[in-house]
Amino acid sequence: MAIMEAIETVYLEADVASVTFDSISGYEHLQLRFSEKADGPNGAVYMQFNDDTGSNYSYKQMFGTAAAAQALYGSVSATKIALIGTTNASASTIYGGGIVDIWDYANSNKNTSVHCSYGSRMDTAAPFVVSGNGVWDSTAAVTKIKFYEFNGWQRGCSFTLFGIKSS
Amino acid sequence: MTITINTDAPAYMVDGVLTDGEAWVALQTNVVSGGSTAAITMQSTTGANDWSQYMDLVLISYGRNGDGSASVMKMNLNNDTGANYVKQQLYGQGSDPVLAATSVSNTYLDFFWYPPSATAANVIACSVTTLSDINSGKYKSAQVQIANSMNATGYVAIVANVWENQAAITEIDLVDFSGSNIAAGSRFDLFGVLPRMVTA
Repeated sequence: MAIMEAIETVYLEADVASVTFDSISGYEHLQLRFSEKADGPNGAVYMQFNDDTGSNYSYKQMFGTAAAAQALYGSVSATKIALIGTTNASASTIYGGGIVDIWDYANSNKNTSVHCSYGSRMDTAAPFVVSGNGVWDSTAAVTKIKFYEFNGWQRGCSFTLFGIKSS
Repeated sequence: MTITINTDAPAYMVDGVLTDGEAWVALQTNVVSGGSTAAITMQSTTGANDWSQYMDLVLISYGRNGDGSASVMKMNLNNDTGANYVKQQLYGQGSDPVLAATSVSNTYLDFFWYPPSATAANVIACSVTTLSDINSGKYKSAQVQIANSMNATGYVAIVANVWENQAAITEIDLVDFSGSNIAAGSRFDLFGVLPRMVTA
């Protein structure tokens, strides 16, 4: 029995607005590994669960860019979990790489917590690095994950969702 | 140096049929033994260690400087030691505020901060480095998490790197920043991460 399985891989051969994973049962935890770039000037990676578009999310991210001191950014009662993303202002060959862990996603007694790490160059001059977390304020088991960008995803992005089993 | 390389046939091929098995595959383990060593070299070869089949690579580093004062190790990809690496980092030391730093035109990928040899015995640092989408035509992106406590005088850091090259990654070289040796007992474990192999 494999402990960590690749559930689904999505390679974008054209620009799209979002990527959705909805066949995710049978695991203890989930991990999404991605290589992404926005199809526009605003890089912002968003995530929602179970088609919930209400103000039921909170998130906090610690990020650094250029030589500026680290900064914190977050929101409560948000409509999604957010991260800084890579914009199309960067060179055509630059895509950011990141990992999102979704812990105990099928447990119906807890809100769902995620941890994110991500880094790239925002444009030709400014690299960035982010570590963040998020909470979906619902005890429902996660059955569907929508992953999207403020400006949509650009061709060439790739996303793989992994399922991690317990012993 | 003890080197173990997994050149077995890929486990996702079963009787000639493509399957989805374990997504993480152990590729190589390098353990510094019998004295310190100057460099670690990992190369794509055959079987499971053919890196062209993987989506990401993950390197787990665990070690310290063997005989020098440097506290950084350098990573070079595909023997590229030119000024083609860019980084952004966040790091904390003691109770100071977390600091950010950036640099471009670096000659190495920043992946590991470790204790100099003068640090108390048995104090070891570790890091986890993810190299994303290593066989694509994109510039290669790496995310690093570093824990280097140095017996309470050290650092915790996250680093994002970009290697400005579109080539597939086929070799990883690790050396001390100042040319010192890597201490005996240090180890470097490389894993390949497979994508979904079979269409659902």
